[in-house]
Amino acid sequence: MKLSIKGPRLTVRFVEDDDSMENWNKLPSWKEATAIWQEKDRCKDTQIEKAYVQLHIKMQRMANGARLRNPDHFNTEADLPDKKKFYAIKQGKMRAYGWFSNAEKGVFIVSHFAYKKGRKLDPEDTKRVVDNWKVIERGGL
Amino acid sequence: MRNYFEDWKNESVDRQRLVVEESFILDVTEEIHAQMEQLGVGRAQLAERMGKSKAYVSQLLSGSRNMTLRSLADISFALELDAPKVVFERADAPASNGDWQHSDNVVRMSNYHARGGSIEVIESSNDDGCWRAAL
Repeated sequence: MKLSIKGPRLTVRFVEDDDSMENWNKLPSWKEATAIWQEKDRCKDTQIEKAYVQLHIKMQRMANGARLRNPDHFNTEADLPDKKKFYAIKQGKMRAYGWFSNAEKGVFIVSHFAYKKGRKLDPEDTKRVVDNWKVIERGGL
Repeated sequence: MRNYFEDWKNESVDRQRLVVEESFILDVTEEIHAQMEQLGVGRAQLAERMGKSKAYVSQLLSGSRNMTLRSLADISFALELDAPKVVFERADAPASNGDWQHSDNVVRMSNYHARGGSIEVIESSNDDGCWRAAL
C-alpha cells in the first residue's frame, strides 16, 4: 500500500489502494465523492483541492500522534461487528470513513471517501465500512 | 519512499501556500478545542461568554468562517486565557523545535521555507499543559 501516510504513532492506509495510484486523490471513492459534490453544490476545483489538503493534513496529524479534538474534524460514527467503532475524518461534507485496525496495530484504515448528502450517516456508508472491515480484519491485509 | 503529497504540493507555489494556510488553521482550531476540553467549556458556553450565537462559534471553529485576530483574542478572553502572543522569526533562522511552536501562549512561526517547505505536524503535550507543534 504505497499511499500510506506514516507518522511516529500511526500509519494511515487506504482499502482502495492497489498500488496503481500515484496519490490518494486518485482513489475511486474520492473521485466519486468529488463528482457528487460538484453536481450538488457546483463546487470549484479549488474547493476540491482545498478539501484534499485539509483531509491529508488531518490524517498526517493523526499519524503523528495528535488527537483531532474538534468534532468538525473527527467523529465517532457507528459500531463495527466487533462492537468497536468506526470514525469519520471530516472536511465540510466530505468524509473519510475508517477504523483503527486490530489486525495490524498502529494502523488506521480508510475504508472509503464519501460526500455526505444528509444529516445522518448513510446506511450505505456503514455497510461499505463493515464489508471492508470484514475483508481486512478477518482476511488480513 | 517517495512522498506523493510533497510532490503534489511542490508542483506550485499556490499549493505550497495552501498547505501552510490550512495547516495553520487546523493547528489553531485544534488548539482552541484542546483548551476548551481542558477547561470543560463547550461551544454553547463559549458562544454565551462571547455574546455570540452558537452557529457563529461553530463556523469559526470549523474553519468555515475566517477567524480574525480579534475573534481569536475574543475566544482567548472568553476562555479566561491570555491572548496568544505571536513571534515572527526570520525564514532562514534555524528552527530548534519546529516552525510553529506554542508554549505558554506563545505562537512562533519560523523557517518553513528554509526547511524545504515540508509539512509535518508534530504535537506533544507535557504535564504542565504546554504543547509544541511543528509544521
